[in-house]
Parts: sequence; structure tokens; C-alpha cells
Amino acid sequence: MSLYSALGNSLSGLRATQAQMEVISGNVSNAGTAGYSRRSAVSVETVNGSGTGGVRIEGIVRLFDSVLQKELRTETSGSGYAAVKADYTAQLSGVFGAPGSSTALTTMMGSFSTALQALQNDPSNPAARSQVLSAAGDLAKRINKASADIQSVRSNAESALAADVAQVNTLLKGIAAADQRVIATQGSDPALLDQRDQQINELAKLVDVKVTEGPNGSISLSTTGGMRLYDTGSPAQFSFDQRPISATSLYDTDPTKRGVGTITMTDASGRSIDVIGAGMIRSGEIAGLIEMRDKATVDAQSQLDNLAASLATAMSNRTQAGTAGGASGYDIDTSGIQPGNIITVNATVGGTPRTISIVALTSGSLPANATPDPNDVEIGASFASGASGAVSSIQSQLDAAFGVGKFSVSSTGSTLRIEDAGSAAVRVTGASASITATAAQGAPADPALPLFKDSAPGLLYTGSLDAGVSQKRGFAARISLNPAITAKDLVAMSSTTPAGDQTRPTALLNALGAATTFAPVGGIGASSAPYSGSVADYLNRIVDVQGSNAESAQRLNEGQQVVQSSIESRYADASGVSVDQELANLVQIQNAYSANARIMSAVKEMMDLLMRM
Amino acid sequence: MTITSTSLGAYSLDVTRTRQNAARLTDMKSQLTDLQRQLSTGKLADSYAAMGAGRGTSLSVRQTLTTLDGYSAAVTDATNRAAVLDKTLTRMQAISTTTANGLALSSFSPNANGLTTEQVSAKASLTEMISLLNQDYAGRSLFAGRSADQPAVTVDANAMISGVQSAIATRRANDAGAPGNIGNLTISSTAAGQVSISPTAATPAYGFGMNPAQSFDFGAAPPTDGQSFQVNLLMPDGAARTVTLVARTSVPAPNAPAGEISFAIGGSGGATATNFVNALTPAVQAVTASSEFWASSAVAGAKDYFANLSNWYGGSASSDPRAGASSYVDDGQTVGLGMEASEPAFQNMLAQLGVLAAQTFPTATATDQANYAALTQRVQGQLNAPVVPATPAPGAYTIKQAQTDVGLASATLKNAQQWHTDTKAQLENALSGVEDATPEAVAAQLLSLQTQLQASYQTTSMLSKMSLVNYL
Repeated sequence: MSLYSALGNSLSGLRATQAQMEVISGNVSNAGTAGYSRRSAVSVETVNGSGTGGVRIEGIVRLFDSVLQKELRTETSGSGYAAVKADYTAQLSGVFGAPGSSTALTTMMGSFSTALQALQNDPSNPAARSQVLSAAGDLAKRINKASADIQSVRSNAESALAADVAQVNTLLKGIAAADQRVIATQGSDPALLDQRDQQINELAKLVDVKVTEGPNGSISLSTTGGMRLYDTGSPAQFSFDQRPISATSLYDTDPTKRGVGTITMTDASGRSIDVIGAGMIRSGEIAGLIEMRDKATVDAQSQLDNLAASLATAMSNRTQAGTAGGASGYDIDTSGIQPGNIITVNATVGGTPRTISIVALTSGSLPANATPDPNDVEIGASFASGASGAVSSIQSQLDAAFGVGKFSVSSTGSTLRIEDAGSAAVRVTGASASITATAAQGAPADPALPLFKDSAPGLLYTGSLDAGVSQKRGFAARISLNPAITAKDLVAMSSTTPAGDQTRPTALLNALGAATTFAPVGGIGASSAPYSGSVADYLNRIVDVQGSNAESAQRLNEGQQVVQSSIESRYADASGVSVDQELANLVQIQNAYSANARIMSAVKEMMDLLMRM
Repeated sequence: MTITSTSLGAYSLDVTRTRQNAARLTDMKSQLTDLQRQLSTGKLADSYAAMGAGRGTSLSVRQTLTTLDGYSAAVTDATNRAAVLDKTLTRMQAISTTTANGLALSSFSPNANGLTTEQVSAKASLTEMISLLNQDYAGRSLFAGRSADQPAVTVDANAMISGVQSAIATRRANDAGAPGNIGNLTISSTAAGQVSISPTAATPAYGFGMNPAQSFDFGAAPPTDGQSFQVNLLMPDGAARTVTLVARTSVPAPNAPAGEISFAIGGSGGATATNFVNALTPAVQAVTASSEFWASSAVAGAKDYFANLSNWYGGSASSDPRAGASSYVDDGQTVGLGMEASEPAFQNMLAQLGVLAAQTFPTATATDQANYAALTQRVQGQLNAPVVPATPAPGAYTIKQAQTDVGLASATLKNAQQWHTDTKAQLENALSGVEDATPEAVAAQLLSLQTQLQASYQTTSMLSKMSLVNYL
């Protein structure tokens, strides 16, 4: 108990307030710094055994809520994902044009239909004829453009993936470096912790990150899908092999079939994994981009391919009706059958109506669900050497599907005959074929007309599935007006067709309006109940579904942003610098400093008094 | 609300608040811009994504409207075509009536070329008729059936007349037949008393026709005195002509009416049959020498010429001429306005005018006047009431009938037009309901947003001044 100890106490008070002042100045100066969490000086009493003590600053701590930080990171990943989805689906929806715009795909489809109506009304009119050709050409080009736009959206996603993967690598290296320093300082330096956290936050925007804390302030990172991103000292290495994107380049887990880039992770032990194939990234920008590139845009392209294929087929395919033949069966003339054309045989097996689809397939094997009909029995057979060449193959496949002795297949010339065994249990009830016309004036003369074609010279669209390649895939990018078709061909089914004959224009118009079944893809139709409607109806569905996807992605994004901002606010409340509060503290500390100084001066006065005695 | 987190983890309380506040302000500003766009374009949304629940309606209504526009265009075109057709057919009907009426009053006074006034005007009418049949609408030949790019009639009046003349000459050379085969009829009898009369089977069928061939059996049923027997013949142009023979015990019968053609009842059926044939043959020959036969032969000649369509018709003929140019006026509803010059109504008119113009009377022959009278009578009859055969050919038999078809089509077109107008108005309303922005609603939203924005600006500015920094 002495004046000296009082002097010592106030001196420690002055030091402590100076240190607190330093913390406040640091807080205020970093008020706008990203990732800076508010610091606070922790003061403790020094004990000197006399009952009174001075004060000392034990350390400077971060004011920080780890639960909120975790939540913030989760929502940051969610925001990155939702923002990408909203952005890309809006682009996809925009591919089809604005409502009522003269260049919208639906408008072009309408123009083609209107042109056909006008031609039907006045077939000999040269203007009406050339209008149909020009509207058909414009429509084909517009479908090409929509396809190109979809692929350009995909291509953007591919580039963005490459950029994001590069950023992930940079961030992981930064995190590794910061982590090393944190370990070296035993996690005591708040600035280093802030630096490391800030980089993890940035990483969370790209991928979903789970942080596990280790000894000495170290951490390890993984995705929620279980992929190690960082272990003490060893960040995972990612690479992305960016590829040029087209409608036919798709992701496949088999590297030889893969047409797009994939993310490969190489860990410390040198093992590499195809991250996309393993599904290890579930949120964040990268997950959003993968979903856009491999699902949303692919679905949109498939829908457009369906549209293009149905449009071409509606114009080009004639229906070859079967006739009752043999003791109990049907004959179908297969002359002119093209790869991908389908012969449909209706039968009743054990009282149940069954549909047998015979797909003309020159090479390769028939993929599953080759037709949109979910319940048919699909068999592939080559007609390359005529109907007789297909008989044994069809027979054996029918035997395999229904049992031996149920159906018997034979041929005469180009005519294929499918008979039942004559018992009531199995009955062939009808047959027809859809055969692609290869020329404007074919044999037999028919209204069907190959108005559209595939882009390769002389290649018509027949829906071929030969050699495991679906002609439909990417057809939207390749559909074009058949240059072999002249304005006259729109009416002339044979050299003797009168100029004003309405047969072909009427048939084409009806075919365009007729309901067909579309293979289910991307939310239009389910595999058990495929969508059925006209080509224009299907186009409306595409625009509707894509618009709705964009709208719900936008909603999701908006909702996510609200959540994100609320968590940001709460986090800022807990860990952020509030200048007002710092200034209030400043006033307090100023007072404390004055008080300590006042004590010193009082001690001095008392000392002086003592000395003068 | 879109709050884009630009700098992640910038979680200083003040910075976070300022940023979020700025984002809200930006968001309100963009809402304001969107409302301004709505006001200037009148549209609620500028993309399908932004259209919301109305998207499906908008797409399907637009599709229906496009189809309706197509139908409307077809209806407009068909309506115009029907109007042109109606005018053309009205004129044809007038020509037919004028010609028939003129013939009723016609007197035989041929000019230097051997043609009466009516014949001269018949040629002019034929020329007009050809030009009417070659009428087109917007480059589309109206009377050529499906060959809409071809003129319906390929020859002019002169060529047509000379063609008719040569066809008549062929008729004249063949219709009368030869002795033993008068009028190309085969008349034979048997000793048992059977008589059979039948036209000579040949193509073309010249002379008389019969429907059916007839036979009598005088052996089985000997005739009684005064019993009459009708032989029903068809003149070369198809008009009916009956030759009646009366059985008499003595020929000529003392109390027989004038002009009676009789035959004697013989001792046996065979003798009666011979008498019958001997009486019938000169009677038939007399018919072939009559003015009526002459006129009939001329009309038949003209029909021969026109029956061969390649002589004059450039269009295409079908079993349903109206369907040759049918317009879809609504889903599944068609209106047929196809016309073919080969239809009986037009062919008949051409034939009647043709035969009238083709016959000339250059040398004053005693039979001329009677022949002319017989000809004009036939032509007049055919113009007023054309003969419809038992199995009619496709198409209209009278101009009026064709006109009725057009009238019915016009009525359908008018209904369809009205229906389209109504439907379109309704659909456009529906479309407007989902696509269009109501100016009043937008203006109200604009005002409230403006107030909100102003208030936000003000509070932001006030808050920014309220910091302890300013008071220390």
C-alpha cells in the first residue's frame, strides 16, 4: 500500500488504454475491409499481493460467431448455385425470342403454317408457293439459330467452369499458405485467421465447403459430398480440360465418349478422380454450371431436336397402310424404307393389345426406348437387302419377345408379311409403316415431300439409329430446307399433277397440324405418358417449360439472396465493425486515460506535499 | 429483390448495411424502369420467363390467332373469288336467256352469208362465253378445275365453230344410214312372225338410239285391226321420237285418220311381220329426211365436238368439280369453289351457241326455213331446260345450279368470316388480359414506388449524416 503502487497502477491503466485505443483505431480503419472481424482487447487485473492491482492487456481477440459463419458459408454456396441457375435459365428461355416478336421461334412456326394455309387455298399461285419455301427456310434457320444459342450458353458454362476451377486452385493454395502461418502462430493471430476465413468464404461461393478444425488452429476442408479439398499442408489439385462445345458433345463418365470438359482432382497421393462423374460437388457456382451444361442446356437441345425431327418427318413421311394378307395376318410394302423408319404392327396377345415397332436398322444395335411409345415391343431389323433380308431377324426377335410359334414372318418381294398362328390367343390386327419420301415425285406418288433435310449433301432426315448414332441428336443444328425441292414440287406429286391440285398442300398442312408423340425430355411428357400434340403445340410447350424453368430459378435466386442478406446482417451484427460503437468506446477510453492521468497527477501532488514537509 | 453479394465476407456492420441498402435502392430503381417500360410498350413482360402464369395462355392464344389469320386470309380470297364467279355466272345466265328469248321471236331472214341475226349474235355470244370461261381471279383460272394455271378454253370462237361444223358434217354423213340400215337401225323379221328393232352397235353411235331395243312377236300374238304399235326411238341428240304403226285388215283402211302409218295383218305371223317391216322402214326413212332429224343431227354433231374435251378444254376434269378449289375456312370446314368448263351446264351452252353459229343457209333451199325453225326450237329448248341423262355427269347441268353452289359457298364464307371476327376479338381480349399492362394500374404502381423511393433516398441521406463521428 503506497503511493508508488498507485502510480504503478495508473501507469498500467495508461498502457492498457493506449492498447485499447490501438484496437479501436484498427477497427475503425478496417471498417471497410473485406473479411475483417471486429477485434477487442482483453484486459485483466494484475495481482501484486497487496489486494490492489493494475491492469494489463492479455491479448486481442476476434469477435466471431462460428455457427453463423458456417451458416453464411452454406448460404453463400447456395447463392452461387442459385445465381448461376437464374442467369443461365434466363439465357435459355431467351433463346426462343420475346413474346410476340417477329423473330420469335413460335412466330416463325406460325408463318410457316400460315404460308401452307395460303398455298392450300391457292396452290397454283407462284407467290404462295415461294412463300412456303421461304417460310420453311426461315423456320429451319431459326431452329438452327436457337440450337446455336443453346450451345453458346453451354459453351459459356464450359468456359465459366474452367475459370472457376482455376480460381478454386488459387484459393486452395492461398488457404494452405494461410493455414501454415496460423499453425505457426498457434492460431493466436486474428489477422491470419481472418485472411484464411476470407479465402474459405470465397471458395464457398464456388463449391460447397465443410470446414473441420484440427489442432493448433489448423483446418481441413472437404465438400459436403465428401471430397477432400485441403488437408494440413496439402491442397487438392484440380484441372479442367475445356473442350469446344457442340450439340453432339456430351458428358460421359467414359473418357473416350466424353465430348465436354470435366473436373479432375489430383490429391496429395497423386490419385485422380473425375469429380463430375463422382457427383462430389453439390452446391456453389460450379455445381450450378455443371447442372446447366450437362442437364438444362442438353434438355433444351433435345427438345429442339425433337421439334426439328417431328417437323421434318411430318413433311417427309408417308404412311404405308398394311393390307390383310395370308390366312391371318397383314402385308406391308416396305419398298423405299429408310434407316430409322418404323413399321408398326398391332396385335392382341392373350387379350392384351400390343404394339410391335420394327425399326429399320442397318448396323449397330437398337437403343432402349427407340420410339416414344413406352409400352411397345421394339425390334431392329436391317432392310438393306430388302424385306427378305429382314425376315429371319424379325422372326427370331418376335420369338424371343413372345415365344416361339406365336408369329410367323415371311416376305414376297418388298412385301413383309406378319401372321399369327391362327389361335385366338395371338392375333395380328393391323400394320402400317412410316416411310420417308426421298424425292418430290416418288413412287408411289404421295403427298409426302422431303421439304427439310439434314445438312450433309443429299442426306435426308429419316431418324436413323444406325451404328449407335441417333440422327436426331443435334438435328436442330443441322435442319435445312432441301434445295432439291422447287416451288413447283410443293404441288406436283407427279408430272401430270395439275398446277391447282390441292392434294399435296392439304396433306402437308394436315400433317403439320396432326398430333404426334414426342419422346419425353426435360419436363415435357413423362416416359409413361409421352406428350402428344402437333409440332406447333410442342414448340409452345418448350417455350412454356423453358420460361417456367427460368422463372422458378429466378424465384429461387431471389429467395436465396434474401436469406443470404439476412445472415450477412446477423453475422455483421456479431462480428462486424460498427463505427458508432467504436467511437463510443473511444469516448470511454479517453475518459479512462484522463482518469489514470489524473491519478498520476494526484499522486505527484501528494508526493510534492510530502517532500515540502 | 436482388442483392448481389459482390465482396464476400465484407461483414463490417456499416458496410453490410450500406451495401444492402444500396442494393434495395437499385432494385427499386430497376422496378421503376420496368414500370416505365410497361407504360411505354403496354406489355406486362418482355420475356416468357417474366410472364408467369399467363405464359401458357399467351402461347396457345397466339398460335390460335395465327391459324385464324390463315383461315381469314383464305376466307377473304374465297369471298372475292365467289364474287367474281357470281358475276361471271350471272352474265352467262343472261346470255343464255337473251339467246333463248331471241330465238323465240326469230324469223327466217338470212343475210348474204346465210346467217340470221340470231345466228350472228350467237357467234358474238360464243366469243363472250369463251372469254367468260377464261376468266381468272388473281392469276387463277376460275373454270379450269385443278389446272388453275391454264386457260379453261384453248380455242377461239372461229376454231370452235369450224370444229363444230366438221363434227356436224360427220354426223350428216353417218346419221341417215344406208338402205337396209336406215338411220343405223337394224330392223329384221322372222318367218315365225318376230320383229326386232335395234340400233347398230357402233362407236360413235350414229343415227337413232333406242332405250331399250324393241321386239314384237306377231306369230304368238296376232294383231287385231286398229291395234297400234309404238317404236320408241331416240333422235341423234337424244330427244325421244315415237313412230306409231297401226295394224289394219286392209291397207289403206277406209276410215283411217290422216297421216296414219298402217300395215296389213297377213295370213300368218311371218306375213304380218314382213308387212310391219315394210311399213316401218319408209316411216323411219321419212323421219331421217325430216327437219327435226336434220336439226337433231346438227345438235348431236356439236355435242360430239364438245364431248371430246381435248378439242377445246385446257383445264382438268374431275368427279367433283367444286372440290377442285376448296378453301379451309375453319378446322375441318371447307368451301368448294372449283368450276370446270367441262361441266354439262357450260358445255351445253357452248354447244347450243356453237351449233347455232355453225349452221349456215347460203343457198335458198326449200327446206331451209323448216330446218332453221327446227334448229332454233331445239336450241331454245336445250338452253332453257338441258336434258339430264339417267346417269348424270359430274357437275352442274344448268348455270343457275352452278350459281346456287356459289351462293351457298358465299353464305358459308360470310358465316365463317363473322365467326373469325368474333373469335379473334375474344382471343385478343384473352391475350390482352395476360400480356398487356393496364396504364392505370401501372401509373398507380409507379406513384407508390416513387414515393417509396423518395422516402428511401431521404432516410438514407439522413442516416448517413447520423454518425457519432460528426458529433465528437
